[in-house]
Amino acid sequence: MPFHHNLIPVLDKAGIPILLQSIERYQQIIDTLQFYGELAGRPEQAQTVIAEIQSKCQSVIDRNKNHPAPSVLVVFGSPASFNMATDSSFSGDLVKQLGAVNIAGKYDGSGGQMGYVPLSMEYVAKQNPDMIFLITHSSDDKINSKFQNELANHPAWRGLKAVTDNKVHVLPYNLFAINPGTQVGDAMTVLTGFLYPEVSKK
Amino acid sequence: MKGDKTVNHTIAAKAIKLGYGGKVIVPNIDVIIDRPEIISIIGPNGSGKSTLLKALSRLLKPLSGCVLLDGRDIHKLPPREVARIMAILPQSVQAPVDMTVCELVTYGRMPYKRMFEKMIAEDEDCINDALAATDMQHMMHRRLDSLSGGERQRAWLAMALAQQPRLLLLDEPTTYLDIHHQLELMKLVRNLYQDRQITVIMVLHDLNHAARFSHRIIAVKDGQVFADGSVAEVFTAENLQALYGVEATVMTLEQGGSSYLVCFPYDSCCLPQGA
Amino acid sequence: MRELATDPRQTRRTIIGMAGLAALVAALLAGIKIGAVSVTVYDIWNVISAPAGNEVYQIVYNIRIPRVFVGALTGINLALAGCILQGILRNPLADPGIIGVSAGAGLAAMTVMILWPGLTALVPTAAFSGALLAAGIVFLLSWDRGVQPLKLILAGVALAAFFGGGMSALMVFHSDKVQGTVNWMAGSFQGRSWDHVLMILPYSMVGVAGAMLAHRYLNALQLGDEVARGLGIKVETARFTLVVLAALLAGSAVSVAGLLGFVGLIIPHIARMLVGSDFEYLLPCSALLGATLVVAADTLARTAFSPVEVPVGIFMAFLGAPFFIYLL
Repeated sequence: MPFHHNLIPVLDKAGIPILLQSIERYQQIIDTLQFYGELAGRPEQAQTVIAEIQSKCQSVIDRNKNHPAPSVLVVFGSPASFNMATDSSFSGDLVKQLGAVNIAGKYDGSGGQMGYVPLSMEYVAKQNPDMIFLITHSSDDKINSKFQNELANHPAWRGLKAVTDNKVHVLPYNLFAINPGTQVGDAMTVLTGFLYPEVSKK
Repeated sequence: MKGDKTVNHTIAAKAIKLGYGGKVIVPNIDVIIDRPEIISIIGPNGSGKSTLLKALSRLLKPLSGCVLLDGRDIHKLPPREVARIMAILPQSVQAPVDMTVCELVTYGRMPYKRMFEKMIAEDEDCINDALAATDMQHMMHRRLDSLSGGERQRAWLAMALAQQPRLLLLDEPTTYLDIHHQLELMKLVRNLYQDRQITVIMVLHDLNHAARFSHRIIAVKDGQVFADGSVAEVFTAENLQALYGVEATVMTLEQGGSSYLVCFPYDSCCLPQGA
Repeated sequence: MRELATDPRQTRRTIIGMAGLAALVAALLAGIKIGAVSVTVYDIWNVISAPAGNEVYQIVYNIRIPRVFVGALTGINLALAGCILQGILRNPLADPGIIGVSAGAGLAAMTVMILWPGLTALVPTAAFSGALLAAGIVFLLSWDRGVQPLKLILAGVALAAFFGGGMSALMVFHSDKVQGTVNWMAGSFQGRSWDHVLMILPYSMVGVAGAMLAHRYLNALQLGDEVARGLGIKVETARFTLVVLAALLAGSAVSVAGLLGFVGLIIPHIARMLVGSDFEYLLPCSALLGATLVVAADTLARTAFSPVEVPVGIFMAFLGAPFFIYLL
């Protein structure tokens, strides 16, 4: 974040070492955990947490390996103003890890700079994803049904398969709007619950 | 109530007090104009001449007292009705650069048209008439900004004439014109009176024009009427001295079979009291 | 006109009018044909004559056609609003934002999107209300026995600064949520559909009707207040009515298009260069040009980097800046 970058010279002068990290991928979470573990002098504790996360994730991935990959779209914002998550965003990366096909995935610009891009609704209609995930600005669960209603009544959205099949899911703000850090395992679980409902029920 | 030549209109200011933003310019003026004639309003700068004209033309509302048009309060009359009787030409005017003479004159017909009404034959006749009276017909489609000062003033006058007014109010119409065009305009004003019996009320700086071309002079000093009467009555050396603080010679000039009063201010003297 | 010789500019104006209309129709047709997904003319014909519920229908009928219409109506509204305001304020740099409409709409929409995300269906309504509220505040601040042009401009600038501060505050304190609002703020037709067409249509109709009645008064106002009064015009009433009309036009446009700038500012200038400053021709020419420009720009914006859509407001900014340099 540029704001944070501005802090570097200030803190430098004060003699305070500063480390800036951007955590945009699942792998970066693991690496960061490891790093902090070593920094704090407790690498074993870090390892435990990492192992926990990794096993959770791995089990999820394993369980879903043999299931057909659904096509998805991850939308950030609201029907009035929205962007789609690409492979270079955190949620996009997560979705990819879980084996789903993100129809916006590859439009992350040269060098993977763009995490969220505004995609044409026409393209969305043509691709007709099986599932749509909404990341909203709210942590409120009641919003879910509200958005479902809104999309069901919106002429541009309601023709989509995901809307008519009721496969529009609101992703929790705290796990997806900002990267969930150590709760990445929970984020994966939530996603899996939506992507492969049959599997989760087992 | 269209401009009917046989109907005489009266405009009267009754004990009007005029001012802008808290400052009183005219404490008290009474004036009655009840027949077609050419009237000049003269007076030193800041005396209230233009203010008086604005009040008569409904542009400025009196702080007290009232202006009556044919006995009715001019501010209570529908604006379009007033505009069909009275036309004003303010001192400085503005117009979009690419407006043509014809377009400008057409606006003179606005008091006669409702919102949606198109121009009809009668309007066109008025417009043509106004253009002919001001000798602007051949310049009908010229842009205003391509005209000389004198021509432009005539174009604005044509617009005022298109309103078919019975009263024509002109605020310093010759100020920005050279002497040739000044005379042209004054002759035009006189013709309008003679041909159409229009009452002309004009604020003039040039005293000799006032004396030569008007029937009546209203001299204003410190926001009050100093003198109001025929040219012969008002245009005297004593009055000019009291009004302007100048010593002037006033004499009669014989020219072209007529005699005119002219003045030659040759020295400034004591300023009039209160200046 | 029988007696009066015809104005030599009349022919030119008629030609430009026809050309403008043709350009608009072409832009509309192109907008319907061109898009992120390719459709054939045959597909379009099918959508109109034999609607089926398939993908092509969804794209053409529910996404593309309404979007093109929203764009055209927005262009009309913004161009007319800009024209009217430039006329009333006698200031060639006036645009709909000058009366606070953009600031009010922006703050209202942003507030809803960030603080009450569950109510995003109400964003257009909020934007419209915000626009009118801001315009109302600007009127009140500048009222002095009528709408005074200079005071209106100053009040608009003050309000824009104040509301702009509010928007900045929202951006700073909710920096993670700003992502989701930027497209609206830049001016965009993303996801617009028939609902939005119905939202703006009544105001466009009122605007066009108003413009047809208003041109004489706008012209007369150009002659100065004193001359206009001398012609029997109620100057205060005329100005007030026209400003309200402009606010409605701009407010309704902003509610469906977000903060789309430049249209209200540039289009009247271009129109003036083509047909002159007589509002009888300036208003309709501006409306045609505005609609054409917005539709064409949006078509370009949504296909240049297909399937990624660039908010049309960004394109406008890139067009607008060189235009002003040209005017210099």
